[in-house]
Amino acid sequence: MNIIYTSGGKKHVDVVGPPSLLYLLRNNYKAYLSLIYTLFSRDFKSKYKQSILGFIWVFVLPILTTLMFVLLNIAGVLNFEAIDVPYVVFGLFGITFWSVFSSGVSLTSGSLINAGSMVVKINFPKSALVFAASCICIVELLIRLPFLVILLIYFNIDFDLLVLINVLLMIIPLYAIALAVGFTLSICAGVLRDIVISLPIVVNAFMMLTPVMYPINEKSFLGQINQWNPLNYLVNVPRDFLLFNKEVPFEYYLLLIFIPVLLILSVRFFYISQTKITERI
Amino acid sequence: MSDTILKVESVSKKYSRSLRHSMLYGTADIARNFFGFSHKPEVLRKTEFWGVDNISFTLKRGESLALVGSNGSGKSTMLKMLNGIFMPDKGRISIDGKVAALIEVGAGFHPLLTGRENIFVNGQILGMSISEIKKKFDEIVAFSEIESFLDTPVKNYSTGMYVRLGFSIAVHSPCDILLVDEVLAVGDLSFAIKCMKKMAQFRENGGSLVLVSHAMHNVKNQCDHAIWMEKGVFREFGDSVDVADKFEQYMLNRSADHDGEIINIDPDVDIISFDHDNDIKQGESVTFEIKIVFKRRIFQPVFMIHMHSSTNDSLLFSHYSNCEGYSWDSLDGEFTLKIKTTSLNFKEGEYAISFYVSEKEVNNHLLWHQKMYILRIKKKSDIYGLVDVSPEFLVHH
Repeated sequence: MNIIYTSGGKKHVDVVGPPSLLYLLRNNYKAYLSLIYTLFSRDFKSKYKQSILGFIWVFVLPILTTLMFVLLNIAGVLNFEAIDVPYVVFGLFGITFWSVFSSGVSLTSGSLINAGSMVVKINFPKSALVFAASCICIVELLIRLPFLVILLIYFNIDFDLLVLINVLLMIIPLYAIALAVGFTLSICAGVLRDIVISLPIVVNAFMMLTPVMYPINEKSFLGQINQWNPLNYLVNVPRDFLLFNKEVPFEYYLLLIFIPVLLILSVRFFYISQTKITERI
Repeated sequence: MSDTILKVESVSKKYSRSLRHSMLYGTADIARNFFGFSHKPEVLRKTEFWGVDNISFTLKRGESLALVGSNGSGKSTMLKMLNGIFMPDKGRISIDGKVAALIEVGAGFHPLLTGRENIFVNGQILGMSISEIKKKFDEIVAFSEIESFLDTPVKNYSTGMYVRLGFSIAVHSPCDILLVDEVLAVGDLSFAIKCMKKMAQFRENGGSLVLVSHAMHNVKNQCDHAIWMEKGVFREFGDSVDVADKFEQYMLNRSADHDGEIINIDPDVDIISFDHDNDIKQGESVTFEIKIVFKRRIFQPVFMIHMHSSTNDSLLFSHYSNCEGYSWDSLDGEFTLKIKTTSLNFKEGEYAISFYVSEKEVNNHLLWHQKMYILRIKKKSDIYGLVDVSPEFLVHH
């Protein structure tokens, strides 16, 4: 017998199916990666398929958000004079990096319950749904990137390829934390639908509290709070490194230790809980 | 390689009647599992009940088994446990081979993607590799009969096309055990026959089949053995024909005992008696003699008669007097209505008759006798399926 199902879960005496991510990657990684790619491709294609603007929507969100903040600046509500680069560049980089987290969390959190009957009617590695959803935010980042590079050139901001590669590598922890939150919330959303309902509000609130679209005085009350906000470092460190050539702070290195631990715990939580959630979706 | 491909040992699965408790227990179980605290899945908590209770069986290579039972008997839950979608709360399931399941055809289809795109997506979700899908692509398309709609989004497919494509992908997925849950009920007859042939072919090639069905002729034709479950509990195991016959009889009795419903909407309308030949043979016609009293004048009365199969509740005929060209300006007092059918070429068994009276419009019901009368049809010859159409088989050169 090569598969045994008990109340403790699925045990593999031989190859077939997924008891853990490590098992999948070790024994069947090609099929697993192919499934992730197919699910990603299905979701990505269908997201833009019935729209006139298609992939142009990838640019619309960050441009509109930045324009909104430019208008607030002109109206005197916000003051961005302290920024050494044009606000459009500052804002667009901020919102683009933030989108990796916000889209990542939104898409991954709903990935299980949005898959509907497929989750309760077909036995397949459910984690592929979370990974596939998370890939969308990375691909959207890569689509936006050439546009951002053109902006840097247009505004005569110094950068080289090595800096750009470093910045892209600095996005990995941001993606990883989105994935960790996504793995956890996708399970929790199966039991508590309140999560899906409240998530857009919470993510927007976090964006307003985190200095994504505005510079912050570190000594201010909000600045003090943001010293404990990991997203502050994960968004601002790559941007500051690229635009202002700032050094990477110590807190960022601490996050590089903390985030993999968080990701491992969230994946473990997902694998332990997935069958319990399937029964309740 | 062991001869036994599937072994189910004292398997139980519990559910909660309350959504609130289900959420609460789900959260508690997840937290316990995550932090490694022990829990007792074998103990029922408040509002929980056993949906499947202490079921055991084995399946050998090449054998086929049917799970039968009325709605809510735990058949589908059992199938989901065999497929590894749900884990048992008690007991153990051991499987020695690859399992493919047809629990819901088309699950995983994206409506905006074309049939071609969905074949690749769904095939992979069902566990096929890209190269396997490419190899079987033409076979899948040919079997589903959707060649000319291959590049049309599936949202524009008819239900039949959707089911055909879903079934075709699933049935071409290589496996040792095929789990099928009543998916053929939605397709048309010709496709259902085609699917049956495909399943028979799968078995001829050494595959094992577990079938959940309410259609007893499928159970008898497709399966060697059957398990009858009722309210989650094992009730009968044995030869598929014997178990299916016992189950059919049980359903007939239950139908006669419980399903009948009389609603006298208008107290001025009543049935004094409802008579017909008690036992007719296959191929004979039947005359229903219904003594009715209208205590007031009823204008343009409409009489309706329906016949349902007692085993699967399917409607076998439904006739309205006005649609058949019989109309009366008005009727009152006591009278006898005779309804004579043509030959009833149905399979032997018991059938539930419903009779309704309306005034002027079909939906304006005055009297409602639903499944209140039983018509018994005796066996004249073997009929496979529900109806004997006595076809002629002629050869022309």
